[in-house]
Amino acid sequence: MIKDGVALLKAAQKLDEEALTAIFDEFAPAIYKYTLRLCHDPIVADNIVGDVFAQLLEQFAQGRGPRTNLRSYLYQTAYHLVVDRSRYNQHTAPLEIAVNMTGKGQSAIPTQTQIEERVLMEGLVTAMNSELTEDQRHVIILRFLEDFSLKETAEIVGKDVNNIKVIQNRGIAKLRKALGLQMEDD
Amino acid sequence: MELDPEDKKVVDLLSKLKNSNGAYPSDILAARRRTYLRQMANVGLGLGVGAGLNSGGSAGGATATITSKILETVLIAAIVIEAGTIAYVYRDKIADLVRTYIGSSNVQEIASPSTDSASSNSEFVVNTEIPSVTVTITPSGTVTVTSGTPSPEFAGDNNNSDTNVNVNATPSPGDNNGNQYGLTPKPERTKENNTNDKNKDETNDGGTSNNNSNGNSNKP
Repeated sequence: MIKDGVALLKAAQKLDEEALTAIFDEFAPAIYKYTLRLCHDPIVADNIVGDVFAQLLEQFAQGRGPRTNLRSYLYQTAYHLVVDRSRYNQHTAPLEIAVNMTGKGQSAIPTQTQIEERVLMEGLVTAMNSELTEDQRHVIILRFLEDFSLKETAEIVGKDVNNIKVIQNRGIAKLRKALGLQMEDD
Repeated sequence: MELDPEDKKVVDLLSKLKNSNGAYPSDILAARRRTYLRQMANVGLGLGVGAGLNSGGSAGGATATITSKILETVLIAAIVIEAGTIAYVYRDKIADLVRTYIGSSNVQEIASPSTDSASSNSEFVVNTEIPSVTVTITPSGTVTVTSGTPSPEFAGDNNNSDTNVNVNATPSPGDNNGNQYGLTPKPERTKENNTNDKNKDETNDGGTSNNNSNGNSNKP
């Protein structure tokens, strides 16, 4: 089993079966989650995962593909595919599909704390969907939900690092304001 | 990067959201994985010489590339050799073809007019030939008219018979509009000789005498 990221990438460039399978097993669930957050559709997210890895195989077969950061490359490909699809099909479904899944495995009768946290989370998701611009939402997803660094986020989005900082701060400020308003309403 | 305490609260909430999001459904993930493995096999077959995917992690991709380059080179060399052999075998025909091609593109030569010793002096000789007209009637009803237009010839210093004479195939008409007024020789009027007249008279006289002589005989 190849565990080192660099060794895994080099082996995958040589079309090593084990390495390619390991890459899929490691990144496919994460790419699915990320795509689901962007497009809100499980079927589309699954299709995009398939397209991402098909493109990766094609690139490796042509002697191209990522040389250093495989994770950033996969997320970038997924993001471009989501953008391409959204140009033809505007999805307006909310992100609640992700929140609703939190109920699985929990006790039937939630505690007061769990209810408050759930309300807060739903408010956060609603604010992300309604208050943020596309760029702000995408940057916040990459930075705080996918744990990418500023540099990696800048590479995936295709913007400057300072620009990413500005977008991130404005997005957080909007979320804080939206959640604060909701808290006052509650 | 430093965040405000309130911003930190938002980031903490986002972190919780990160852990709470939906996972890949296992059945869909399994189907997607199978599709991916099939695509891997197709990519491996597409390489051809690389014999699919490598399980040992050797430099199979590089080997496949080198092998394909060698094959390409061998194919090109074979094509060149074959073309050279064919060209050698059919060299005569090719040479004939080239000659034919070059020969057909020559400028049409016009024969120089024959030098006549009589026209050695520099003088204008007007050819007064009457243009001949040939009418050919084909069975299909097509009428072809061939006319020879006489053209004035300039007989220059043709002492040297090898002198190249440039002759225009179609001389510029100049002032000649094609009408030949005055150039056509008038038919000479042949005057009757006196002797002939006399003979005529004599014959007439004789005739009369004969007639007279005969006349008597003819008289009823």
